[in-house]
Amino acid sequence: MRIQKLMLAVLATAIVLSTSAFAATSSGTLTVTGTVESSISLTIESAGGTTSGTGTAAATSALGSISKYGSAPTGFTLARGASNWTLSSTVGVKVDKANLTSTDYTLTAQLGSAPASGVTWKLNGSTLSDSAATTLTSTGTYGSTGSYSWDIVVADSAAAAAIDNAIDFTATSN
Amino acid sequence: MLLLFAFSGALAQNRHRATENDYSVAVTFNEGRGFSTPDGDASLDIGEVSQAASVPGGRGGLSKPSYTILRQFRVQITRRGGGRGQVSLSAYLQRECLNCKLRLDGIELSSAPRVILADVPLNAITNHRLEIEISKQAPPGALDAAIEWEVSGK
Repeated sequence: MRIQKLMLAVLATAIVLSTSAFAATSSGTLTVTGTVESSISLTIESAGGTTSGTGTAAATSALGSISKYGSAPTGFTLARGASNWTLSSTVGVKVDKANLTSTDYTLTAQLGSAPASGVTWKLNGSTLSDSAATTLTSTGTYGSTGSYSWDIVVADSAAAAAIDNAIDFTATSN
Repeated sequence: MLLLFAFSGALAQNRHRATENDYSVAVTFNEGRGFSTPDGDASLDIGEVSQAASVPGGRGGLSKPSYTILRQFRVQITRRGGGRGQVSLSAYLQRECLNCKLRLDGIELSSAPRVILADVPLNAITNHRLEIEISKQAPPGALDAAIEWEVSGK
């Protein structure tokens, strides 16, 4: 009996040794580190006129040739007053947040340059200037596109000339 | 007497087979702050990351619930002491990332080993992709994970 038990023990040991060589072996570690920063992003989702770049932070809108007694550009309505005329549309702005506990944001707008003489730019009924930002909302909802009325008021006395300008939007988390 | 010879014969065969930690996995990064050491350990620091930086200008990616940081790297598996042969490479998370998911060549990593290379010759250099997916709901702060390599001889 003793001899038989010894034979079984030796055979079992040999089998264990012969199979252990095919087991996977640990061969190194790749450590990944970094720092996640809070951020917010603003995109122009829509605007009157012929647009390009919507859905990004830099969009353009081309109104083409505009006049008091002509047709309104696409996406605009035209209203004629006694001494001026107004093109009206909307601008859609969305602000997203990531890794941030803020619940809402403040959105402002400012003209990129002084408007042409006799031309007034308005957002949400407020006149825009190039010298100071105008607050559009202080309770903006993240992830939702805010729609802001956009008016370009042209005096009848304004010269026939280009009215090119830029509207700079700034979102700040509250 | 016969049994003793058989036992010692089996031991002799084992001396020619791979022993624990016989392989080395060298990792080389294409960009970013990474380095590897001769003993097979490597480190990658992806620095400060944010959704705004990972999706510059918007381009439709901001509405997704997460964003992904991508890093390319190369792997070379060698046997200590040299030699040729075929091996397989697996990977698993030794330390999980609390607020992110890691994928190697599209394979999501977990604490269970996943095969990354089923059959590759020793000394060959292979190209790989590491994706670090970060949830927008995750709080800001340190990101820390560890991937363990496992090499098996064929």
